[in-house]
Amino acid sequence: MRNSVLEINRISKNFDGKVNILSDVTFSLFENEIVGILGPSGSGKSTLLRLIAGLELPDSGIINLNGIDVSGIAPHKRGVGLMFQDLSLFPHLNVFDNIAFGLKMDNWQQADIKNRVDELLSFLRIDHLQARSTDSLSGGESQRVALARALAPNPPLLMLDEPLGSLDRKLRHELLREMKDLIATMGLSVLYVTHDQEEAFSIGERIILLNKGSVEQIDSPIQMITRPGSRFVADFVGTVNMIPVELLDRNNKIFVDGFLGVLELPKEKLVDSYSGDKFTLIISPYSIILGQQTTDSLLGMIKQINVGPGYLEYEILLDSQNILVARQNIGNNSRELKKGDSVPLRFNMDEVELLPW
Amino acid sequence: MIMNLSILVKISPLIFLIVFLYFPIANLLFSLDELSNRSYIESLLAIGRTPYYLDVIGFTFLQALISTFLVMVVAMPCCYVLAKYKFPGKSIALALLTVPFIMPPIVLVIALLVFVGPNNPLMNMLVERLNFFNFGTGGNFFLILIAHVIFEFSIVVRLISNFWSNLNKNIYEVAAVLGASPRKIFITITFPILKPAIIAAGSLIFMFTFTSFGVILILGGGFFSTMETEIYYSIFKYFDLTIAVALSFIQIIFTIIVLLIYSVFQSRANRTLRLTQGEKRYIPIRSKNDLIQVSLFLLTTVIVLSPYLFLLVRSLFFDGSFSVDPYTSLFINIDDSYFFLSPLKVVANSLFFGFLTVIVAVPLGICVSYYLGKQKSKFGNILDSFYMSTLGISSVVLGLALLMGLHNSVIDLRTTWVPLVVAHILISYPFVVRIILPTLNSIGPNLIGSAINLGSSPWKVFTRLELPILSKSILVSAVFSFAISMGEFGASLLITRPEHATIPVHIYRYLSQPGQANFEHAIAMSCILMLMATLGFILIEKLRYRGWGDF
Repeated sequence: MRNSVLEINRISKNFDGKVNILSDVTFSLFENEIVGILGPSGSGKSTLLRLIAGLELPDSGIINLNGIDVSGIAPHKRGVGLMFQDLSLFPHLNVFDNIAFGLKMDNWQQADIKNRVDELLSFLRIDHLQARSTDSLSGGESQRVALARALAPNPPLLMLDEPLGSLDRKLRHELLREMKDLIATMGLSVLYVTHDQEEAFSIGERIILLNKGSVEQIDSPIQMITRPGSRFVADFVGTVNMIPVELLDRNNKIFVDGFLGVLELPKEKLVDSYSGDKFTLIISPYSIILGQQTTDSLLGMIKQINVGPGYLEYEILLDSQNILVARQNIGNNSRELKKGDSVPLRFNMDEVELLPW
Repeated sequence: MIMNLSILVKISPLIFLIVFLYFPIANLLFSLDELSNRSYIESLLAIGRTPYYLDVIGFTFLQALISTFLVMVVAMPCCYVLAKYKFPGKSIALALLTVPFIMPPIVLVIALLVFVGPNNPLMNMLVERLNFFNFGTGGNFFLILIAHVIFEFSIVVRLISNFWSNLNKNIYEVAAVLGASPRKIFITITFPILKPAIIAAGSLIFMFTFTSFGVILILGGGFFSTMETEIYYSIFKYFDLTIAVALSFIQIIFTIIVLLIYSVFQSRANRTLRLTQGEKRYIPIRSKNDLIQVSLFLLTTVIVLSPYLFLLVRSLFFDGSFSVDPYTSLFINIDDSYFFLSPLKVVANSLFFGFLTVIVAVPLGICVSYYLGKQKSKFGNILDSFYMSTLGISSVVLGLALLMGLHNSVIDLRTTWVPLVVAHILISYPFVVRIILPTLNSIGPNLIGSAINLGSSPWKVFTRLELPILSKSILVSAVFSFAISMGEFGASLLITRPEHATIPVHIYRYLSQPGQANFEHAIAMSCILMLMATLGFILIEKLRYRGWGDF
């Protein structure tokens, strides 16, 4: 078991007027771990970071940093690293002095400051920028400078609040990869806040999904996609094909009834449920088998074909209002499907999920 | 057609300034030989050799420096409170703080005179016990400083609190997380970031107090004199035009230098704001300490506004009892004087000149803003100072230049009201620019680009897009230039012919005549002016315009 750097225990926060900005949040962050904090805007992600940094105080609950309760400790004595989405570079200082700021506050020797800043500058490949003023930097350069500034004092915990939020898509991908490498090389413990699922899933070993101030699920990205714990999670991680169904129990076999008709479920899918209970059936787009006519296959019409990275996505109209989304890896498609084609489809029932309604 | 229009926009303010400002000023500076047997250099040397004038120059600097320092000391804590806290009554307090700025200086002067006058028991006590505000012996340096602080306070508060609240608060938080204590944050982050804005505001205040006229003329009582009042005395008391012109020359040089400093630091401040603009975020009052700070701010606001309130109350009391006599007796020509002017005529004069000022100054200001807004060259600062220079040129010098410049073999406008209105236009149009330019700059090139893309001609872009967006600023600038015209004192005093007297000039006439009745008249007239300015202020507030913080 790795040591925990941060332990959050039943933290709650209300602001004047607004209630439940955060309620009863509990989790731990381990050494050298990257945890993505994901959630829609207003879910309390940033407030959580502000509480850990000491910029706000929790109404209740305990924050332990390296085993020490930091409740009464002022932000400038907590020693965590924090980077905002707007980067907040100091406009009156050049790149070098921006990065050196935390070291000066920590009363480092002049020579040590120079060494540390130089080290970070070359690590982030921005040596050439050190004398530049902050307003002459590009988006990616500013981002690196802000990261270097947060990293300089070697914080035990680095918190990044939407660090790539203001950049364009291509640059985001590039910097995300770089940041992943950097975090791994430096062995940092990181809380990474974002509203972007793709970003969170690609960087976080574990994901904390927040909804209206409460933790919805803490899991690995794979688990969260394949085993979403609630409809909210499923919705948020972009699950398609969520079908409302009712459970039927016949002759020791389990069926679900919805707009797809009555489907039989493998037995291990359920425990402690009764006939008549309502569920959401989730069918992964890759579990829909297209083009094989069998006795239990349904018939749909291809409404739209989208090309994604490495796959083709078919929107299939079942009747006037119900649509299923199916995906096939490019190169795997048994036959060329065209818009408007009628197509038989069936489901790989071993891969479907049932969620509480 | 489009070419012609853009040339017109560039050329017309230039022509106006050359004809009505630069030509008269140059004419003033170079016409000395005709006026006197002393040459220009000789006059300058005479000033340099005369201890009296050196004292005047020294005092001008000293009072401006001390005034600026005091204004900053009083205003900065208020800016801090305004940038940090939200509290009930904040917007009302901010709105009320506009009052001293829009109020003509002469009203404040009268208010202070009343405040320290013999009929205020509080002051009687202070004078008797401490011999502190003793106004009897001529001028009073403290009163001059108090007047400057009250008058300029609101400008600093508006300028800097606006700048301060717009700064990105995350910057302080990043600094805190990086280990900076609140004290260190102020020293290493807040103050250095505010510095250009503070220097810009300070140099603006320095310039205003350096060229302050009415305050020194009346409160200085002839005992304290600055270059500005000395120019006035040289013309009207000593009839020594060469000294007046030489003094003007020195003053113009200094104001141009200060304007340049202002312009450089203002553009630095703007750059900082562009870099670090964040959402405004205020904290509520949470602790006792917060409450004390906010209360001190509110107390300061009340103190700054108290002379005006006192004046209004005092105007309704005569000989210790409630009376409207001072108002009604304005209409009686006691001495059967040939020069008697009905207060209605005086008010009508002021309204008329104010109206003329608005209809010229606003279009002129729009043209200049347009030109400065599109100007991206590195000479922007100098160009800006060039167009803003009337902010710094003393109103008395301006009046003198216009009097001398607008009469020659071709035309003689001295006997008309033209020089007066021209002076008001020149003094008020920089304010129009300062109000309109920020709004104009906020219309991004994208908006205009997309309009052009959609097939609009530049003329249509202006009338359909820019003009509607600017309309509020234009209205506010109109009210402002009207208020400035109504309150203008220095140039008006010099130029005005008796029958064209404006309200401030008329107040001064009452004041320079002996007797309690005249003083009561001055008070009543000041209140009329104050109420008119208040009306303008209410109009501005009704327009809900908050963007004039950017000077």
